[in-house]
Amino acid sequence: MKRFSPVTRNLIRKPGRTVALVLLTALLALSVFSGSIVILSLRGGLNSLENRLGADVIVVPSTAKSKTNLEQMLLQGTTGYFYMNREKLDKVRNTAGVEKASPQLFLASLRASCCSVPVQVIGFDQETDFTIRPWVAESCSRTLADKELAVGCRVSADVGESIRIYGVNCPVVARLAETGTGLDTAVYCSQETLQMLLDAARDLGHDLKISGSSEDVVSAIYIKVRDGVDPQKVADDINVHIRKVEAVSTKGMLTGVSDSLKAASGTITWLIAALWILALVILFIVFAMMVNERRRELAVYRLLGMSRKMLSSMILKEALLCSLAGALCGVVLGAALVFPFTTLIEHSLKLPYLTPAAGTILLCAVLALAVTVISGSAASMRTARKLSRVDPGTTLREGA
Amino acid sequence: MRKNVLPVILLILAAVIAVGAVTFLGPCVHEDGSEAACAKAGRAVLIDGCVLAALAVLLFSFRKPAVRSVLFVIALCAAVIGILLPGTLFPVCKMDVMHCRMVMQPAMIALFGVAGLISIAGLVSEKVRSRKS
Repeated sequence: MKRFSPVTRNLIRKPGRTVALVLLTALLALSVFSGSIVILSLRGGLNSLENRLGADVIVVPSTAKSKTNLEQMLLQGTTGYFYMNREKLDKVRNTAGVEKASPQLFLASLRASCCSVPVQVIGFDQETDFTIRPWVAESCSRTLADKELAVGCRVSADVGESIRIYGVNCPVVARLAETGTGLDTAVYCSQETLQMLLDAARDLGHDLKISGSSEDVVSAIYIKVRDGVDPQKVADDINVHIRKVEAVSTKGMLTGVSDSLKAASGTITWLIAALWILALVILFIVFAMMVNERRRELAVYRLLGMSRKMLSSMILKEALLCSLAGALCGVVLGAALVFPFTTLIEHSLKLPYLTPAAGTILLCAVLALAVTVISGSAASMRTARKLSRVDPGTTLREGA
Repeated sequence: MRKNVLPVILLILAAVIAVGAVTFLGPCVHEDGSEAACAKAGRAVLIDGCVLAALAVLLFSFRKPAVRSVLFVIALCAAVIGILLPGTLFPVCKMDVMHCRMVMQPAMIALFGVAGLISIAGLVSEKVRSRKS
């Protein structure tokens, strides 16, 4: 009974060569698959950030820059807090070109026994808000009551559970959709709840640098400008006329993120290209070395009656099998490296990162498989042609 | 010599797991010195890593395929338990950005996963060896 075809037998008989070919093609598939997933995730993150920001200008106290940068908070989920007097909100609302202005309050819980999780707490004004409310409404249609929280998808607390913040137990009533930004690691509540939490933190002895009542402070003001008005002009107006605040145009912020994304994508693309060229050169060398190594073996096959066409198809099949096995290993390894470490990659790149949908991932895997198998087979083609032209008589006489 | 290749890889993996569990792949550390929710998961991973290392050392000293097969089966069980330790059998912290969830859990799944695959490969090779002899 025939157990293996000559192709499989050839591959099993030379395990070292087979493993080397499989590893090389696995490297090709791994680089293409994981690289394309990372680039697509970065693009997805930027699109999500554009959709989620919602405001044209964000006003923060000038001390925010030296404390926790707003950009870091939005992109990486760095926890922080800063406060300014509430009277700044009225001044902002009176600025020319401002259509809507809504305040937000920030508080960072601690990695300590008073809090079940170190998290950024954002309190928003449920009457005037136009940035968080539509996002929360996707998961919770009613307004948030006192102490109730809506959590980002990266906070591991399910609806019905409670999160302890500065000793106050707050029930979770909604889990928000993923954005791929730092907003996923925050929890959201009404402004009244946050004022309550601010008081609880102060009671526990945490110096939040607030003078007076917690009702008299805000952390940031989100602004929507009137149609046709340049947000940068509004931001400049605020910076000139309102003291001790910093107005930032979100367009400028997104441009900065987009530039960083282009740089990161460019680096990844160049790395993949370099890896591909290197691996392809090695593959060509390996197949070229096979010409000399297998000359006598193939001459015997020819003497046994195999045609040139059969010989070249046998070599091509060997390369195809190795490439397919390597490509499969590479895609599986790439998935094992990229998907479990998503948060780590996002934190290392310091950019918004949203994993693409399952369909896109599947398409990437199929493309990586196809490209790797085609490259592996193409590299072996020249060798197949050369070896099939071997003259059996001369070759065996030379070797004797 | 050839039959010790898989136990050597298993021993290296176990060493990375055990050393990692108390250093760069370990649980979170609270600022106020209190115990993090993932501390028990970290300790369990360390113990499982040590068990895996002991099994790898035992594999060096036994030659009989039947005994080695049993040891590989135990190593496979230890690897499967290791995959389930952070998050399923023991709790981890509640935030995705915490070290235990960002680094410890995925790294342990990957390392114990590879250890499991090696145990399966060892089991198959011992079966082939016993058939040949």
